[in-house]
Amino acid sequence: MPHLPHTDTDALQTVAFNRVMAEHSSALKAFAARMLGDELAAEDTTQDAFLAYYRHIHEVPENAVRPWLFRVTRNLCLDQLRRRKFKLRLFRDMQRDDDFELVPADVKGTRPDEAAHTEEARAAIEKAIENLPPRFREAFLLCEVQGLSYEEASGIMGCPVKTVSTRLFRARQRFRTAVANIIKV
Amino acid sequence: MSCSRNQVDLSRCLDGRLPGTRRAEVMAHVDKCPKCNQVWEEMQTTQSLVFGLKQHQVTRSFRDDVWERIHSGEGSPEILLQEPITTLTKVRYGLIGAAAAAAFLFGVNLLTTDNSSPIENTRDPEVVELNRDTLDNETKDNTEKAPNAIESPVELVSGDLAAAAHLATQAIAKVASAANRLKIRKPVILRGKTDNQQLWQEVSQDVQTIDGGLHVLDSLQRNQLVRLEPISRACMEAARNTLKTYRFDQHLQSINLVRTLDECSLDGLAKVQVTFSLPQFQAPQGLLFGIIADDPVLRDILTQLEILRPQGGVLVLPPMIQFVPGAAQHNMILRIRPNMPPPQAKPKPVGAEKTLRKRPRKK
Repeated sequence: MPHLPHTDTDALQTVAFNRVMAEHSSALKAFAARMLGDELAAEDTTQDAFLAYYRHIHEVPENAVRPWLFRVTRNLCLDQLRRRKFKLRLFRDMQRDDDFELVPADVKGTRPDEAAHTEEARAAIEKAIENLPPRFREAFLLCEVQGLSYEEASGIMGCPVKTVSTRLFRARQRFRTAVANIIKV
Repeated sequence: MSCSRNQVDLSRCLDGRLPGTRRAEVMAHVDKCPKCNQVWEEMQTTQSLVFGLKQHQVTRSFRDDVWERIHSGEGSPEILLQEPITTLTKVRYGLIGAAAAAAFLFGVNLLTTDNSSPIENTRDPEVVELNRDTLDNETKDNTEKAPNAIESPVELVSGDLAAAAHLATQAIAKVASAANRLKIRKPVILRGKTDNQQLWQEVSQDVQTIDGGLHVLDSLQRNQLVRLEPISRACMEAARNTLKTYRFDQHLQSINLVRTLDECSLDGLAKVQVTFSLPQFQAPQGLLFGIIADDPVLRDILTQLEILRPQGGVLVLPPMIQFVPGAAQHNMILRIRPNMPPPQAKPKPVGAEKTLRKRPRKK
């Protein structure tokens, strides 16, 4: 393998990069998985994001690493979704037959937070998130799931804070409706 | 408080993004309104559901995989350059390049096309056409007849059309700024004459186009205003003065009075449409003058303030000029009050002396 100049990194940089990976990889993968609805693709996308970070490690301020990584991951996810749009349309009809009604029989009469612990309820929640439109979904995932501030989400999504707030409200509204149909909140 | 508005705030409240006072209001509403109360509870419950979602852990080999990809130079410029380019990609980029080249050539062609082609004859039969010489003669005649006639508020400045367009854009910004100020100060404006005069001074400092109006009002007060007849001539004069204000008149090729729109005279003002042409003029996109005249609220204010521009017997509000991009002819709408009565000095109120007479003191 030829010696590439970009692999010459000092030990400190390697340590710092590993620390960033350890710190953010799970959150990024979770975000990508829910954006794409595909675990394997999410793993690849997260790796791509870290690859991009490695190329720009000196340009990203230390306190802005998290939003930067989320922004890159979000862009990569949207890119993938755009490319997969045609394929998704093609397979939608086939997939429709496989969809099953996620109504857990044993959760009726139990408290919702208890119900959430069951696997089926979790799947139902994941499904509700997946069914959100991409714009609402990213706001929901960033603010509600990942707990980012409105300002950080605004920087990642490239829209005003007010828009983030509105999209989050709409996402919550839809999510609430979707979840209420499955689990009796 | 509306429930829909309240629910938006509830979402912000859930994230701790609501100011204390507003939060208290929202919570007070939630306590009273069962519907909002239910929404609030549902929001909290769904949030707790989300918190209980499973964490996606990366695979054990994740870190090694990333490092492997880094060491293999994936995504680096050197490797990207070595990758073979598919035929499809080549064709795609070729098509994009061709389209870009075609667009560029088309744009160059548009820019270099001479716009001074003969103007199409689309006028009404009633159109009164006045060319530049005629207008000059008329102006000369008027000046001779009325030595104290109103002077142009802006001196002629030689320059190219691009500079003129730049000035016009600046004038628009100034007019918009003044319009905003007028809007803001509306309650103050309606209080009294003193405020009006003060506002006038402020506006005239900002707005180049209204600056002349002050001069005109001054002339009006000194009975120096000259009435011109017939009305078409006066309109032409007003239009020309406007073009002079924006320094377009040096390039004026022709100017035509199209028609008088009498149906639009609810406020006692008539509309007159004038078209004019400027050779080789690349009109800025959507350039529109006369923001003040176009705004009904401001029009009311202007009417109350008597910010009117009497020019040669025609009362003209700030005109609306519309430059149509790529067109040979452009439009100007003047709002006029025909046959404006000449200003007269106010007679002293009858009985004024009586009020001043001293009452006899009672003993």
